[in-house]
Amino acid sequence: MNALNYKLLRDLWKLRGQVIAIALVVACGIAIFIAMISTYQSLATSQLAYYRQYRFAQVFAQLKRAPETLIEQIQAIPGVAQVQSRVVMDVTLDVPGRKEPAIGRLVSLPEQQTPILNDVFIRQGRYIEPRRAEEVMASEAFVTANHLKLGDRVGAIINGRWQQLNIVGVGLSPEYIYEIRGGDVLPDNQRFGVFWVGRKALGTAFNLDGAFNDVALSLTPQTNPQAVIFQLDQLLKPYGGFGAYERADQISNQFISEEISQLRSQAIIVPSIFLGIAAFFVAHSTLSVDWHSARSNCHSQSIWVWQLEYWLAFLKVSFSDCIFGRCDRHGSRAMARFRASTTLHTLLSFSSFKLSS
Amino acid sequence: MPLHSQSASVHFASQSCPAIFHIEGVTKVYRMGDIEVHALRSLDLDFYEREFVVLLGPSGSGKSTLLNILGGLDVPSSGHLYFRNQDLTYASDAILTRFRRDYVGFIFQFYNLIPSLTARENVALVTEIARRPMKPEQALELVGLHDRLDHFPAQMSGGEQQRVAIARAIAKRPEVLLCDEPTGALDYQTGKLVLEALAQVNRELGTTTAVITHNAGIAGMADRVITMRSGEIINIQSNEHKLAPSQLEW
Repeated sequence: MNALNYKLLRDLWKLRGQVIAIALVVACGIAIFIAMISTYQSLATSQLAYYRQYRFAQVFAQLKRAPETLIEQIQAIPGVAQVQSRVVMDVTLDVPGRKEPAIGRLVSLPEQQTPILNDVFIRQGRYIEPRRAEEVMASEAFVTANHLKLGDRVGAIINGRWQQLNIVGVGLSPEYIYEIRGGDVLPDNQRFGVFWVGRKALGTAFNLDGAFNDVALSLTPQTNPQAVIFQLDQLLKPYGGFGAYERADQISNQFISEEISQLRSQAIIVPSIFLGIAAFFVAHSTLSVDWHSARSNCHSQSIWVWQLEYWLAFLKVSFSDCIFGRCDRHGSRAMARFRASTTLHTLLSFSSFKLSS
Repeated sequence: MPLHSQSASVHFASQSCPAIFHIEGVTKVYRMGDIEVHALRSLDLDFYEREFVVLLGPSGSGKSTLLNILGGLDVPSSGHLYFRNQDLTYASDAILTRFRRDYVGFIFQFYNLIPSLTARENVALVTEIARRPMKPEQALELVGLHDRLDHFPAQMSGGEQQRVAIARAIAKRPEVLLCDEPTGALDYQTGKLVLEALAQVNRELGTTTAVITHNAGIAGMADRVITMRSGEIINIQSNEHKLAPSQLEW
């Protein structure tokens, strides 16, 4: 083993406390990075898998009222893979145990369970039965927030008529991972919930039998959503279309994607802080070794002045080496002082470096 | 008035040896903003093989600048520097590095030893990269530290540390040994021990040695004493009878 390796090992042993501390800080930084980036990747993958598995639509549009026959024309738009027409209505709810009314979003489902866009994953209970207008599946977040359970009944004013909704199932939908009403800033699961109701019952209640007021589309691969949106808007314009939008603008997807994206940012920022602290410790430990050995050459009265000069000189050398690839022969006095006073430099100047004047 | 022209008329015992360094009209000017500081003013000088030269002069007289130029640590603003007839004036950094590594040993007022290495390992740092080094133990024996091989700098006196620095400088068998105030930080007795080591190296290895000092008492052990002031040589004196370091008084 050569002398420099002996020096390295002895210096490490001498600084073992700091070395262990630095190693732990670095380990923490790396562990946090791995944990957060893994969580990010896991969530991002899960999000995509959930969207794919439950056929989360790629284009959405709301309108006043359009006949079901329009579906064929929508289906004929180039790039459209599947069309799902729905009836979607917000109603006032009377939730047991709650003094203030809540808002329920009633979303139609086919009477028979078939694979549809924005499909519902049934967490508890069952799918609604055909021709049972009072049966609904409620969103899990609303049920949990209001301490409801299967078999509970919720009062609703549907098109001006009081009606009891019987909760037969609890579900989740990729469309409502975050349940937010348009205009709200944050989700309030006690005051807003989603209820999935049979299409016939809902259509009849709102005079939308044979018609729809909400449509969701999936697209074929490589299709430009904007081109489809343009044509869809043209089709829906006579029927009071409010303007179609793509998945990226869907409010729940926006929220969840931003949160996952923030996790990725944090996975970089938080470990960077740890590694930055570790880098500071390393630089401080390295320089403090030289401070002790070079102190005897120092003419400054104050150790703080000396350390400040030392740091500045260190930064100057680093910057000049980075920018110019080498230190200028006629460098500043501070640099010369720094170089001339470091123990290692004096050794190396014999062989490789040239002292500045 | 510079006396470099007088040097030719003065007889030096060492002039029987060929010149190892030859400098012609060497000038060094430092610029600090608009101010120009003339550290050396058109020096002409030779250094000969095996001779022991003492450079005397007050602070700011240009001694260290001259030593730095001789050692390839600095370059002259004008003039020429020859080492064994090779012009180093415009040598590249790589050539100067090679020159310093293979031919020059430096000793400074402060020892600049690595605190976490023993005396033997401090010397080994140089022998590991030198072209034809002696063994670290041999170098340390030459300076009388054969029984301190495995001591760390903190376990040695200032004189011993300086002798380790000397051993480190001579371990690569340099042709020139350049010493900048080697006894500046040492007391009288310890300083003599260090000078003894330098004299021994000069005598036994034949290394051309140049020693910068403020201490005129050291002049007695030199073959030649060059006195400088304000960047000029004001006197060159040769000693017909050199004194042993033990005979020096200051």
